[in-house]
Amino acid sequence: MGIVMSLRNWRLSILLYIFQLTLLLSIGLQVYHVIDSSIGTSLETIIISKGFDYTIFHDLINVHGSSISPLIGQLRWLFVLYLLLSAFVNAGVIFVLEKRTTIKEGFWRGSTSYFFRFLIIGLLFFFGLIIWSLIIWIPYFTQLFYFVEHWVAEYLIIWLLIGLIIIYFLGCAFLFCWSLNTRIILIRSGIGIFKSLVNALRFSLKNISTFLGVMLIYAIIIGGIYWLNFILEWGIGMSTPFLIMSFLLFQQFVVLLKIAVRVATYSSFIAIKH
Amino acid sequence: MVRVIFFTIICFFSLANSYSQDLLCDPSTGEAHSQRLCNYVMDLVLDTDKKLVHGVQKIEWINNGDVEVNHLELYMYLNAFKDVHSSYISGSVNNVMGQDLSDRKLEMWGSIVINSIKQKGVSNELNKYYIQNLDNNEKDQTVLRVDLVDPVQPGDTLYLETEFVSKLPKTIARVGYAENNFHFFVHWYPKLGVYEQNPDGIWGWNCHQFLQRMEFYGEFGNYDVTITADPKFVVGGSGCRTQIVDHPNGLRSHHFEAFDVIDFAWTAYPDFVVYEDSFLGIDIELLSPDHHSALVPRLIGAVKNSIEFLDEHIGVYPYPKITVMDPPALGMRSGFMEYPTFITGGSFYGFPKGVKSLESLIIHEFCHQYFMGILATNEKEAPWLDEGFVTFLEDEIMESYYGKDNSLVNFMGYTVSNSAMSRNEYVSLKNKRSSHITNKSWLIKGDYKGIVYAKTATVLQSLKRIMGEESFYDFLSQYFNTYKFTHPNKEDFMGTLNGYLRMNFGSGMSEKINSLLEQALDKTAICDFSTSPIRYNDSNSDSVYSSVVIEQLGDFVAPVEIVFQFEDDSKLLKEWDGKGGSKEFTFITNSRLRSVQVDPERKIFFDIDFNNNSYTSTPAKSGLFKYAGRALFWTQNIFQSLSFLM
Ligand SMILES: [Zn+2]
Repeated sequence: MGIVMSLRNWRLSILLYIFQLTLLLSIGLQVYHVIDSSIGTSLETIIISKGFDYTIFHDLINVHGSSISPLIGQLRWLFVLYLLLSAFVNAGVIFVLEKRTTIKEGFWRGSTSYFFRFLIIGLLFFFGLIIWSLIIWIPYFTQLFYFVEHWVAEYLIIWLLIGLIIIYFLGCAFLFCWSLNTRIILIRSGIGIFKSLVNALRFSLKNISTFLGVMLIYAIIIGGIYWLNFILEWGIGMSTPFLIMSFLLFQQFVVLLKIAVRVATYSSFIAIKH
Repeated sequence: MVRVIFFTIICFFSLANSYSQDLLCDPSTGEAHSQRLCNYVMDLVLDTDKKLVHGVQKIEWINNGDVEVNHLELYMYLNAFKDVHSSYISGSVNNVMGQDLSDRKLEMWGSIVINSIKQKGVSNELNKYYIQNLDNNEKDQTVLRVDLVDPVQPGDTLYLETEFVSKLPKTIARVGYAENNFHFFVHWYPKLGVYEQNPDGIWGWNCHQFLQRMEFYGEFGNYDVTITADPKFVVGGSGCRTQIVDHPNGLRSHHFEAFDVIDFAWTAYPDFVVYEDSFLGIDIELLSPDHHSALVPRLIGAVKNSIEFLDEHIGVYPYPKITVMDPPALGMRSGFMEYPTFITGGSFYGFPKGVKSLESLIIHEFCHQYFMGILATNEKEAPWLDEGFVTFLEDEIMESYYGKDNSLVNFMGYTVSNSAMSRNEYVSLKNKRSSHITNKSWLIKGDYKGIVYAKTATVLQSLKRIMGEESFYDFLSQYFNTYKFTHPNKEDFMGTLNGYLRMNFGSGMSEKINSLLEQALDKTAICDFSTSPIRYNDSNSDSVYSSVVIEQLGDFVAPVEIVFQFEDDSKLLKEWDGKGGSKEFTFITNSRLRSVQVDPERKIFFDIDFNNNSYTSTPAKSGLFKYAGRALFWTQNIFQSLSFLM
């Protein structure tokens, strides 16, 4: 159901992709500029065009590190901007999907009228994520030395880690489910943030297995896309200009697909309500 | 084919449970390899509750000098871990190899006490007191001076008898005890310093206090050690286990003998599984906790690769056995180290296959057998002659068995080799001039490992590339075989090298390499060749004028090869003597100069930036697109994932 809806809404995915690319393209361009100005006329460019070379990148960072650090600083504020943009864009997307309007009719309306409320919800859940992360990881990492020095069965340390990772991601999945349902209910019922949060929690818990099932399917699809990307890149290699361009385009297609999967997830969640 | 034998550690059914005879070996090494100047017989009883051994020791020492000896100097290194006042600890109580020792309980400290020390046949106790020969810290008790009643004449033998108690600390800097009755005894007994001539030719004891960053120096001899402990312990140590005796009181004695070694180390832990193998006539014993069983083939494989490579390239491993201790995670602080015929690794359950640092470490420690163990250079005064050579050979062995460019990491097309890692460790030092390589260990400032290990390995890699692999190993094996069991120093190394170079390459090469090594080893000169863009002048239609300036950005002066490539694909190889800081090369040719590359084979491996060594008028911009595109892709992905709640 969600997949069908998202295919129908392919324009939405492309729109989101363009938003995202516009914001982040500068990073790619700047990386190009940094590499070009530091080793752009060196014979080493031929080596990196054919494969990876640790020494070339090490020397580049070692010698030209100062031109990379502003880029890392920039990533920080770019990420904040990205979060704001996400809240804005997601409001539009969920509005269009929920109200079954066209993009023209609904996207701008949804984005502008729900942006602030979505931003607050997003920040609340972001805060929740931080707390969840602390709950899971602080005890483990503060006790890690103790475990290592006292546990004869050291494999328990690794299995505990794996167990915690699974629990952590389940928690994250639930947070996602809860946050998405909060927004859907908010748009649908026109009630306040707090009420939406409570209703969404009740609703998410009631249908937890369905929601987790949907998320699992989409997680597998995304995992598959990544896997395909790695297998192709690893197997064929980005070693000629043609292959490099092909893979770069393919990677952008992967990004677009991931966005489409996200739109499909939204659609599916809306469909479950119906 | 790896033959792995699994031994049950605790036998519930029989008191007569015992090690298989396979675990015993013959310690003899044929003829005496060393002068065996300092021999020990020690009888030990392990008290696991108090974490100590009671020892009765007989030392036999031959005065090989030409003057009478009326006092001895003994290493008492366990006293470095006696309290916060030792010179080892006092400067950095809050961070001793990553540990904060400031509020340690009393019982967690270690010590070594001699209760009795006598010369054989003399009933009086010998007068003894601690001395401090590197700093004036009177609370440091790591070197004991003992005045002899009966001086030892040149050529005569001293017989000494001691009774001592060695109490282990909770592990600090490898020595100590850990949970679950893990015991690791290293540098743990009263041990004589090395009696030798100093650079001025004067005989005396070389027996330094124990300071941080400092390793060890000992005299060759034979060890006969009997360790008596509860039979639940698996005991492993230097040399060979020659006998196991179960006593009526329920205790078990393990008798070890080691010939022509400079030290003896051992461990006792109830949960070790013993794996046995052999290669080229050398017994390999691996002590490893049972949940590391998946790592056993990797560990033993690394030992075999080391044995094979060193046997082929350097010389024969002269001992009948090598024991490898792979500590459990709770004993990890005791790992990563070398002792004669006994090495320790560092692994944990589930150690990833794609990361070869597990093998690299074992290979590193095995290589120490040749430099710390057999050559037995003074690790305190010339640490580079051990750690630097060992790191170089570790890189070489890793790259020859685990992949030239991907020996250390090989993951999804991202690869790192060992020698690249060593070089990068040096070139990324914040201060490359904090110390020269050949400095004494306690005088080295800055990043010790980056200088002593990594820079030395990188310089040796350069030497190999300049001499050619075959000649280099020919020389290195000559050095090893000439000086094994004799404590060579830098002069011995350089003497062998110069002799070899003059004989095989002529004096020109000898001078060239001497100048290079002097700058690289004894100074802190930095090498950074670079090239300017190529300038053209096409005004004359028949020929093109191309010019390029090669510059040395550092203060190193070394000759270097330069390759010039023209647009008609012709190549020209030239050498620049490296003098004067820079040199302009000009060509008037039919074809334009397309590219220039300084040191195309990266022979001068310690050049701190290879990226500026070349210039081309036709760079491959697609490579830049590739990584810029990837950076974009990953930024998109990470941002997408992190914003999942927005
Ligand atoms: Zn080492």
